[in-house]
Amino acid sequence: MATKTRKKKKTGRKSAASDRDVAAPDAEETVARIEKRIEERLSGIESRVQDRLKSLRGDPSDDGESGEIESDETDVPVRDIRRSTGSARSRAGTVKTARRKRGLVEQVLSFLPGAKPQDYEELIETLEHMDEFGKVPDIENKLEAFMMFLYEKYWRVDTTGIENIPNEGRTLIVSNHSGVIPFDGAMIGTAIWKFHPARRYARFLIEDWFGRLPFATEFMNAVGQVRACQENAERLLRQEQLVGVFPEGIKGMAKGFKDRYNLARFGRGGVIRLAIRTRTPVVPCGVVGAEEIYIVLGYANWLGKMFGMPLFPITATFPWLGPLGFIPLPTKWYIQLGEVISYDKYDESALKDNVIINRLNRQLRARIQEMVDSALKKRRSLFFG
Amino acid sequence: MSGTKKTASRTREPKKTSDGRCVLLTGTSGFIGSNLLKRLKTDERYGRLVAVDTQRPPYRLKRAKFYKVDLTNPRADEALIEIFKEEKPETVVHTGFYQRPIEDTTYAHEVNSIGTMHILSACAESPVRKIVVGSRTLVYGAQYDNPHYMSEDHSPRPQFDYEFQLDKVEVERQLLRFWKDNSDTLVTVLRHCSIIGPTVDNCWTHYFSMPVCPTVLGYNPLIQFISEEDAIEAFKVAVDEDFPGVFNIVGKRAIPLSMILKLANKRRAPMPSFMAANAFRVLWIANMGPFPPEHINFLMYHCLADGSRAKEIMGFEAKKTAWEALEEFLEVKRLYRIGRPTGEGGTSEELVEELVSAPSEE
Repeated sequence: MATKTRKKKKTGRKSAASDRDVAAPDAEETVARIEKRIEERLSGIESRVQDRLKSLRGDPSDDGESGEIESDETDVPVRDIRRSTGSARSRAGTVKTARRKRGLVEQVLSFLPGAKPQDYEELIETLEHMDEFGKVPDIENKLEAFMMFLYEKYWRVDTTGIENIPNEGRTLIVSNHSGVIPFDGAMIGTAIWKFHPARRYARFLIEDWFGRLPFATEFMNAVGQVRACQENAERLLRQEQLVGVFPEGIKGMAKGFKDRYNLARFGRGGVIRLAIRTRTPVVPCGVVGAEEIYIVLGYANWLGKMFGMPLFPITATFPWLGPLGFIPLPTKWYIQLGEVISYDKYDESALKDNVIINRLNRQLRARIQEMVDSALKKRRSLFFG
Repeated sequence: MSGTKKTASRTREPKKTSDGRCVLLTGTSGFIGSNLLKRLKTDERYGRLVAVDTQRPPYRLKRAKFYKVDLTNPRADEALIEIFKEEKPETVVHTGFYQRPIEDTTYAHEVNSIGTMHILSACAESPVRKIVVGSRTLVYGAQYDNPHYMSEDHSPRPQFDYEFQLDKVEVERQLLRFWKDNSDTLVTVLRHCSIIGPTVDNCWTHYFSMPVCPTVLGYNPLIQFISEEDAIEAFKVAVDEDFPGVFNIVGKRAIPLSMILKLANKRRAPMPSFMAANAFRVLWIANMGPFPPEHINFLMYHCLADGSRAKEIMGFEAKKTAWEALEEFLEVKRLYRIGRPTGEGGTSEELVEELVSAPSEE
C-alpha cells in the first residue's frame, strides 16, 4: 500500500539526510513544500481532466448539470475539483455519446446503489444539524402533512389541556398505551407540535424490540424516538427536551378486548424515579380511541418470534390482507392532558424508598385512568365521537 | 469494570515529576505506539524512551532505545524483567495489541492476553508508577438494547464468538486484577473508538477501501470516529498527568453509516443480515475481508460511547468531528484515485514517490 511505501522510502533517504531529530519548524516547511507540489500536480491533473471531459462530452455547452467544471474557468479551486472529480468521472461515463471503457468490475457492479454524484456541502450541512440521537434535521416539517392528515381528517383528534405543557424546560408526558402500533405517540406529538404555542417536538421512548426490526429502528431514530432506558431518558431530559413515556409498555399494547382502557401495571416505578432524579415535572395524558383502531381477535406470538416481533396480533385484516392489514380504523380520538404533577418535594432519599415510589406510581396511574374514564363517559359513538 | 473503584485517587493533584521521565512503550510498530513515541520525543519532559516490540519502529530513533521482545515467547516475562531492571521505566504504555482482528485468532489471543500478562508481571516486579493501556469502545458490544451513549459504568458485553472483542475484555479484566493486587500503581485504560485518518490501517479503512461495501438491509447505525491527532493527543494527556481509571475517548459526533457511504461515494450492496454475514465470512476466509463476520453487529446496531468523563476529568476533548476525521481519510483516497492511470498522469505510486523525493526530515 502506498502509505507503507512512502514510509520505507523516507527511512531510506533519512540516512543520507542529516541526523537531527524532528524539530517542528522544519517539518512545517517540508509539509508546506509537499502541499505546494500537490497543488501544482493537481492543477496539472485538473486541466487534463477538463480536457478529457471536453473530449468525451463532445459539446461543452449541452450538459447543464456539471456546474463545477466550466470549460472557460481556468481557476477552479483545487479543493472543489478534488471533491467533484469522482462524480464527474461517473457522470461522464453515463453520457450516451461517449462510452468510456470502464473496468470489468465497475461494469458488473453498476447495478448496485451508491456512487452517485453527491452534494458534499449539503451532506455536511445535514450532519451538522443532525441530533446526536440520529434525528434528521427538520423532520417535523417533512412529516407534518401526513401527520396532520391523520390528526385532522382520519382520526379527528380532539385535544384538551394542551396549555398544561410548559413552554420550555424538561418535561415528561406520561400516557396510557394502546393500539398495536404506537400511533398514539405520533398523535400526541403532532398535537403538541401543531397547537402548542412553543411548538415543542416531543421525543418518545420506544420499546426495546424496535431495535431488532430492520427498518423500524432507523425510521424511529430519524423521527427522533429513542430506546426506552434510563440513560437515554436522562440524556434527553438534561438537554431540556420534552419526553413522552408509555409506562405500560408492551402490556399496554397487547391488552385484550375486555381489558381495554384498563391501565396495566405501570412498570416498576422507573418513571417516578426518573422524574425525581432529574427534577422533571410530569404531565399526565389520557388517550381514548386508540384501543379500537385494530379489531384484535387474538395473538399468535409464537409466529411473531420468527420475525423478531414480540407481538403478532391477528386482527380482522391482518395477516389476511398482508401489509394492507396495517391500515387502522378511523375511530374518533380524544387526547386529554392533565395538570402538571411536580415531584420536587421528594429528593434523592426517596429514590431508595420503594414504598413511596410505588405509591406515587399508583397515584399517577389512577390519575390517568380517571382522565381516560371521564373521556369514555362523554363518548357516544366509536367513529363519530 | 465499574468506574467507581478507580476514581478513588481522582482528587489527587497530578504529580509534577522532575525532568527526564522514562516511558516504556510497547507496540511501537503499530499506529498508536509509533505515533505516541514520535510525540513524546518532541516533549522535553521525557528524558528516556524505551520501545519494546518484535520489530523496529519505521523511523530513526534518538533518545529512544529499542528492545526486541516477542511477547508470545514463554520466556518473555524474564526478558521484560531484565529490561525493566535496566531501564527503570516510570510509566508503561501498553499498546502492543493487534488493533484489527486477524485470521489467526489463537496467535492474536497469545499476543493480546498472554502478552499483557507478561507485561503486567514485569510491572509488578519493578516499581512502575503508572500504566496506560489502550482498549476499544467496541468492548461495550453492539446490541439492540444498548443505550445510545454508554458511559464507563456500562459493563462490557462481548459477543461470545468474537475473539477480538473477548481479548480486549480479557485484557481489561487482567488490568483490574493487577490494580487490585498492586494498588500503588496507577492504571489508566483508554477505551477509544475507531481511529480514522490518512495513515491508520484498520477495519474501517479497509472497509471503505473496498470497491463495494456490503451493508445490512434496513440498519443504519451511528458510528463514532476519532481523528489520528486526537487519539494520540488523548494518550499523551494520559501519559503526561495522572488519571487513574477508565475513560472513553471518542470523536466529537457520530455519523450514520449511510452518510459515510454517501460521502465516500461508494457502491453499497445492501443484503439481509444472514446474507451479509455470509458475504463477510467468504471475504474473511479469502483474506480479502475487512473484518470477521462476527463484527457485523457493528454494522447493525449502535455502539456509541459517552466521552464526557474524559472531558471532565482528563480535560480531553476531541477537536475534530467524525466527519472531519473521515474527510481527511477520504481526501487521501481521492488523491490516489486522481493519479490513476488514465494514460497521462502516471500511477498513484509514482505520484507519491515524486512528491516525497524532495529531501525531507523525519
